[in-house]
Amino acid sequence: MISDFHAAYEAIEAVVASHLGEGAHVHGLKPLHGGACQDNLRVDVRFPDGSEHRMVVRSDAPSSIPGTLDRSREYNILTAATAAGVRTPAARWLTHGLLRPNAWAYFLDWSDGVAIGRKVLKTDELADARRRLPLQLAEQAARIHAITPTSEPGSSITAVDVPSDGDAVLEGLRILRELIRRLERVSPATELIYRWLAENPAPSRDLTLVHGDFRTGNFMVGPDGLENLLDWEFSRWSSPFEDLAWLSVRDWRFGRLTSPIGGFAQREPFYAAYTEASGRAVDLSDIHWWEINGNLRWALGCAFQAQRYSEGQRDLELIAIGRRSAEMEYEALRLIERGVAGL
Amino acid sequence: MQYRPSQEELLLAIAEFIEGDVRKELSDPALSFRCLIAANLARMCVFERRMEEWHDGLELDGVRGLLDDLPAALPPTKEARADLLGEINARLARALRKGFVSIDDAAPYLRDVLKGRLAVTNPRFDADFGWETP
Repeated sequence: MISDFHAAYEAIEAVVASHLGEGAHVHGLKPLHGGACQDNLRVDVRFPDGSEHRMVVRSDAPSSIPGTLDRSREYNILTAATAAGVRTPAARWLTHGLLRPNAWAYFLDWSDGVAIGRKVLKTDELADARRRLPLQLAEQAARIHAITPTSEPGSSITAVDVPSDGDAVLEGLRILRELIRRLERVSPATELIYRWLAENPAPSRDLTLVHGDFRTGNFMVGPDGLENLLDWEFSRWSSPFEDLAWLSVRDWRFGRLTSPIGGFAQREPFYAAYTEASGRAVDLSDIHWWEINGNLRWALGCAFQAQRYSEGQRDLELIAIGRRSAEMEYEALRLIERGVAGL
Repeated sequence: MQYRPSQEELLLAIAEFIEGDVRKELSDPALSFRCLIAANLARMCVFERRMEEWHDGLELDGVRGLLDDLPAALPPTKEARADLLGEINARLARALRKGFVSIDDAAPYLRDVLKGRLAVTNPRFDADFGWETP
């Protein structure tokens, strides 16, 4: 987290003044918890016309999981997503070195609502919202997945490279292999799951923009349902089915295992709504492959979080997550054993 | 050496202290959440101590059908057991990567090992969910 709050305050006020002019003031600053790979601060800004605006400053953390975008790249993708009509807070004022040397940061418009997974799934006042979410999320996913490397605004995305072979499945395997290579531990279960994925590739290979962390916990939810999609740091060119399957990865159901869509809905109506909105049929073989891929990716992510702790980022949550890899590996083995019927 | 109270009692006392006395004094939700994590980690150490010898035996016995040249029994000390199982894990990982062991042969063994590990790391994890057709 930020160690020198006073310096952070002054730096933020200077950026605000440079964009809005002398009459602008920052009069509230509070750290927000929740993001493990970046520092988020809530700021209250008085614009020169006297109007009050609550915003979030989002800055690179000292370390992150491999494959995550820095704030500069995330900003580029957010700008494209906003242009495509995706519901996500508007980003502005990208700056370098704001909260720590060499770290990128930008400002986001504040979004009301609840994002914490368990609260989204359990709060009584959000019961109607949970009923609306599947349709709303299907529409948002369709908008994101309409962005392709060659279409506008996809061609304005410079933050992430398009895989040279244009193959989402091979790219998904390359990402996993690179994560495995960089990890300090060996896991036979990881090797088995990876090999199964390599030997049984998903049928669909097409690339679209993906959110990359499309799951309960990254949806800001209010009484009317989805307010905004958050946390684009894993966004890249991949299979649209990666996003759809990630939503069902067991850990992102927050204990509501019999509601495979994010812990709040069943698969069929969600996939039907997605097909309606996107024109893209959902093949369960694709979902099955990407759900196994997602479980392995999160198993590796857990191991990396523990590694970040041992490399010096002293947050107890990071080291505790390290032991959770077994949960995701176990679930991936179950999906391999059961096949599509296990979805 | 027999210390009293035992290591297990001490760890459980730490868990209770953090989760109760410390946590109720905190107004910061993030800090309060980390108290729950800390208490869980202390309890996890207790579960691990209780089950580690049994787990080590299960890992060695189960892998016999997959790898050759394994010792007849586990070594007596904890450190030597950890070294041996670490080496076995690395050998099995390599054999799986190179295709020397089949997925079908290794999967039941790895499922059992992971299930044992989950009983320690997350006793609330429902390891039976979704294995059978409803």
